Amino acid sequence: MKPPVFEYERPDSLRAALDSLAKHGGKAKLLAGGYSLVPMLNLRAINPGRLIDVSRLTELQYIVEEFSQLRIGALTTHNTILRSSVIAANCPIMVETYRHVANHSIRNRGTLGGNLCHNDPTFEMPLVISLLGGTMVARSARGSRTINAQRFFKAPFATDLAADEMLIEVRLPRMPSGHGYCFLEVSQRLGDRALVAAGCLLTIRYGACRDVRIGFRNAGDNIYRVAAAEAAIEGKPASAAMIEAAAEAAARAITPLSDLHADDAYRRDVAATLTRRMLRIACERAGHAVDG
Amino acid sequence: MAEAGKIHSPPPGRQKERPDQRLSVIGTRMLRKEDPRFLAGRGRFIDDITLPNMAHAAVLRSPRAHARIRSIDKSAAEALPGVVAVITGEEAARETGPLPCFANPPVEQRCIAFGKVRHVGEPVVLVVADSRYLAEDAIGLINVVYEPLPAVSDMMEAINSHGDAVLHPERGPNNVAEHRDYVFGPVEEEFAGAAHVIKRRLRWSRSGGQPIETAGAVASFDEGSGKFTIYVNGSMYNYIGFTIATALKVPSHQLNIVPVDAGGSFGSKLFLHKVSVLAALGSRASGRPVKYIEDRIDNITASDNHGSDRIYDVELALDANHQMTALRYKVVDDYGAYFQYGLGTHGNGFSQTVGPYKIRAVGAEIYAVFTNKCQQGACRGFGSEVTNFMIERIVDAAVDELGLDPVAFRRDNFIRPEEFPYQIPTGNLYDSGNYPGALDMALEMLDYKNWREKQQLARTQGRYVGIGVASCQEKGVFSATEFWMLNRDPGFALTSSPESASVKIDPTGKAVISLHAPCWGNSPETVATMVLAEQLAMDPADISVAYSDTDHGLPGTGPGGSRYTVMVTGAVTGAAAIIKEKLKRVAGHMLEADSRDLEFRSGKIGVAGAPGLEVAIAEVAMQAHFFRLSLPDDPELTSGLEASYTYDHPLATLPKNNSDFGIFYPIMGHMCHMPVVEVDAKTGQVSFLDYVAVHDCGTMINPMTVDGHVRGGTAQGIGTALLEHFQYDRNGQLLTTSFQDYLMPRVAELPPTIRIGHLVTPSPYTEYGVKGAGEGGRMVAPPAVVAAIEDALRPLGVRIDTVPITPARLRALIREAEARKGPRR
Amino acid sequence: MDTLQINVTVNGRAYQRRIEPRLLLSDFIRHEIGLTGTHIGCENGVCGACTVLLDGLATRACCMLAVQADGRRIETVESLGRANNLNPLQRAFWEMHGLQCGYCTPGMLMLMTELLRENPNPDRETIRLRLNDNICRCTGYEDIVNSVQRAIELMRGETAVR
Repeated sequence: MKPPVFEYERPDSLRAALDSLAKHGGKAKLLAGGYSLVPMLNLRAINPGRLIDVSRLTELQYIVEEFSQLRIGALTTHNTILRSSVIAANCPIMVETYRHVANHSIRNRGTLGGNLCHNDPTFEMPLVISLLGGTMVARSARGSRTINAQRFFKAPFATDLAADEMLIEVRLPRMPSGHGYCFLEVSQRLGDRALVAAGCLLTIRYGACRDVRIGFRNAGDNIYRVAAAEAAIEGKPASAAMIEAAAEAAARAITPLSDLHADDAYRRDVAATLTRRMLRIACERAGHAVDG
Repeated sequence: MAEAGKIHSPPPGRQKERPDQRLSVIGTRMLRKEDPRFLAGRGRFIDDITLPNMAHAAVLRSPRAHARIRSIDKSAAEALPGVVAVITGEEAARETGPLPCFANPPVEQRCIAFGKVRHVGEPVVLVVADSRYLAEDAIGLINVVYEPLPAVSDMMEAINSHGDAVLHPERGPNNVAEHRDYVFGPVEEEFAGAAHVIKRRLRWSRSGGQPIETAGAVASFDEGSGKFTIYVNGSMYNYIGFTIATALKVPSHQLNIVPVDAGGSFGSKLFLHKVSVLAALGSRASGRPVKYIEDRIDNITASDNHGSDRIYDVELALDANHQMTALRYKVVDDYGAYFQYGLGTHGNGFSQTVGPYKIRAVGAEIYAVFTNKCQQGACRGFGSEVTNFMIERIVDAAVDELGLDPVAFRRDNFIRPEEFPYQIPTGNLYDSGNYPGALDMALEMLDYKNWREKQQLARTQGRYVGIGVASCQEKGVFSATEFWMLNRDPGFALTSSPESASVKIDPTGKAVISLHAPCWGNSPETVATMVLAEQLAMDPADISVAYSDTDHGLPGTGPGGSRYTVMVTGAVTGAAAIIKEKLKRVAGHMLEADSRDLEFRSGKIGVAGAPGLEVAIAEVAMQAHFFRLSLPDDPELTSGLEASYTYDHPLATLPKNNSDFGIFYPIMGHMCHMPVVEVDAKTGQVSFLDYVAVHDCGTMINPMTVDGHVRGGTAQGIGTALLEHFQYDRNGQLLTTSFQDYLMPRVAELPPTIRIGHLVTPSPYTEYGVKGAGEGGRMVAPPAVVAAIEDALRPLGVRIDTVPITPARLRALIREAEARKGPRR
Repeated sequence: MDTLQINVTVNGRAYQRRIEPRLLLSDFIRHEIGLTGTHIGCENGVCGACTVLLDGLATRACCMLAVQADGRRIETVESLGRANNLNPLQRAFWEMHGLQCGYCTPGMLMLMTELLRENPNPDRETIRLRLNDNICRCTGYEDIVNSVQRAIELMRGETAVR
């Protein structure tokens, strides 16, 4: 399992990387951490022609806290994010999710940007970024643009990036303090691809659930924020009945697939279970434990 | 017919070293001889072998499950710079014969598919190039045209295959490789008169050893001597290595096979014919040494060593006192595309087909079928782990249906400690055992009563906690009759399965033991050193171990079937006996004492009862090597100090007929496992709360390494029960082609600790009473874990008849059970 | 085909080599540098047998191109100790039977070396969580966990892991 021949360059600045992308466009692939790309090269599942190694662009490795948002450089490694006190304070759902993202060794070099751009339907981070309402900043030799999460994560293994564009930053709106969050995953082994993954965020204001976000991974074609489930709770007081309604709505709305590890009935069933569990935990974290 | 029961005139054994003697090295947790080099990263694994001017091979793997090979255009590949040779199946068939096969009649398998491909991953072209990278580049340039044939993936359909769907038309009109019926004892009678008959259908899915290191070989051909040398990480080279020469069409003395360290095997490296022949073929064609190492895809798709893949319909007969009297089963076993070991994995099961119970009759109908999958080979247990699963599942079914207690039922049906040696209906013998003792030890270690109380409490809290009980046999030391006894026509009816050891003591008194079988994690150097150190009262630090190639090798069947520790102990003991005699003669002469009055103590040889009258082994060795004229004038007393011994099976007899296979696997260990699990009923996930494993492997040479095997084997058994499955689709496409999808347990899937208990019932037949211990954990953990899960879900009435029981499968069973019970309150 | 020159420090020694960009770091270490202690299990990033330290971080060498190691510092199992002079972690594995076939062992040792440098006193749960990165097919892991705990004891009497 050895890679095919390709050309390789390591630009020493973002500008140089973008110029190269502009020149080679669809015939080049960006190499960041390599844990998605190199195994695919070893399998000869892809034959890129040219690799542009951006793994050393330290200018894209940062976590910055601003008044209304966090900005994370696309080449920040998972373990850097996982260990960041800024992230822990502002986006604890990311820290909770990281328990299920690959493993420690892979997180040492794997980058957030690489993960999001690969958009494997079993990867957790695209779901979390979507739930957080993240915005991706793409840059090319032609300029910059921001892309919201819904648009960015176009289809499994595909993003909205053009061939000459590179993801350079992920912006996350700050979550209010005391917000509720939870990320749960069912997999056959700890750290495996999720059979089903589920995440939620909410805030409780005057006893009612506000700004509810509920989503799943590997429960359908792509990222799955389930509006029907969110609507079942939005504006209502947190209660066992509301949670049950959300779980049932989620189970009806999603379109999971069958694969060699689990069938669609299982995924639908587990999505409902995870909805119940995570909403309880999120409400408790938001300061409102649910009885019954 | 072999009548089940205690044998009143047991065969005499050849045991010389009694188990109950005072031992100072054997039985200790001596640190392993093997470790320093492995810890330092200085092991010698197959990919570490580099020869000058070595080229590298890769294989074009068939993308199709079943197809005729219409044409192969290799011109572009051959033209690629750096490519040295490109060999098709047709070319290989001119230069090599079929690969060795134990089935009779044999099923022809070629190192490179010839004429047609029979499973995804089968080699279609061998490419030799300056690097593996280039070889893979060349593979991408080869154009193979296939004519698809119907692919058979379902074992039941395979029974009725016809026409182009038949993999081996020369064998018959369908894909039945073999269909045999066996009757051991009064099966019909017992069922006719039974008070209760319990039935189950069981499914054991295909899994495999999957060691972290794949199989590989480095071959070179010396033009000057006309001799092949093959380095390979397999075993049995000093047993049937000559069959590789036959396959290569060279005289056997023109082939030297050299062992290397193996990174795990679990049976899959038992006999690596294909990689050896491929590397040698490449070497002969290219004129350079050639390295062929399977990559992980090569290994998963074409290791030739998938495990058993069976559907059982099993029935158990019980009398009015809830005594099990007879067992009857029909099994269909999906052997994949070839049949290298024939029905060996079923014969293996016959060695312990009644488990630890007094069942007196067994009926077996066996279908072996061909399908378009990688063939079965050896996988820890060699089929008898499935027999254990079948037995314990039907036992649990009886317990469940008759409303009995799982512990009491087993105890009431056990063969009693005073009934050994015990003959089972197939003719095999169980040498010794104490099954109630193992059960009691497990119950106590687990604090079974306490866990039952905790289980009750957990149930009131809506938690599903379960305790599994499984009592299973672990056979050790196969007889060679196992290879052919189930063949319709035996064919080559070999009866030798020996093991040898050579011991040399040099003039300074240091010893080198030569072993004739490889190291694949089974601690052979440690075991051999400990036995020699015990025998000669030598410091283990003064002993080193070497491995003989076939040029220098003595008969050595190698590790497998939990035999090696027993057999090498016998071999080293035998060699030591010879050397001790000579040492005593020379020492006696030096001390002017009668050699019969001498004993070995702390590196010296001295007169028993006379502490001052002794001489160091080193001095004796020097004398023996160099001072011939100072020794008595006896032509037998030659200069030097070395001995070899070939130890044959300690107790084996010939099969008598198809109802009595004689004694073929008598060194019988036993295990009792009790896992405690909790099931998340909503997701089907299982976690372990506790795990007790009691093992009886007779006298333990090194309890530390035994514990290691228990834990490792149990981990693989847990993997088999919950995770591991080579999944093929209806078209014979393998869906689990990498470690992403073939799931093996990581530490998080295993119990926080496995608490091990040792019960020791020494064998009366082996030296020191040792029994096998290598396979055990995998042979008992699957039924134990499944039983625990069923026990946890007892309130719901969930029945589990399939492994692996994945979360999705388990959740489906739970949903069905809940639906049967009606809507929840 | 194009080759590139890289400079790498391996186990404290500087190397300069001209290699193809597609050469995997695992193959570079094993065959260019000749350090065969780092083993290959899957070339897929799953088993961890090829774990080395790259600038001190546990890294799967089969998932990295050697050119990416240009200017970097690599540590392999050979840096830990010699067969007749094992370091405390290695000695602990020896004492506690933390290996059987030895094939996954170098990867385990490097993974645990990183852990113990980060945290000289991890509890059993922390060790298990980190150990979950790598697959062992022989031991069932428990003796590896025990080995790491023993290493912590041995190291208390010595200076930091080399």
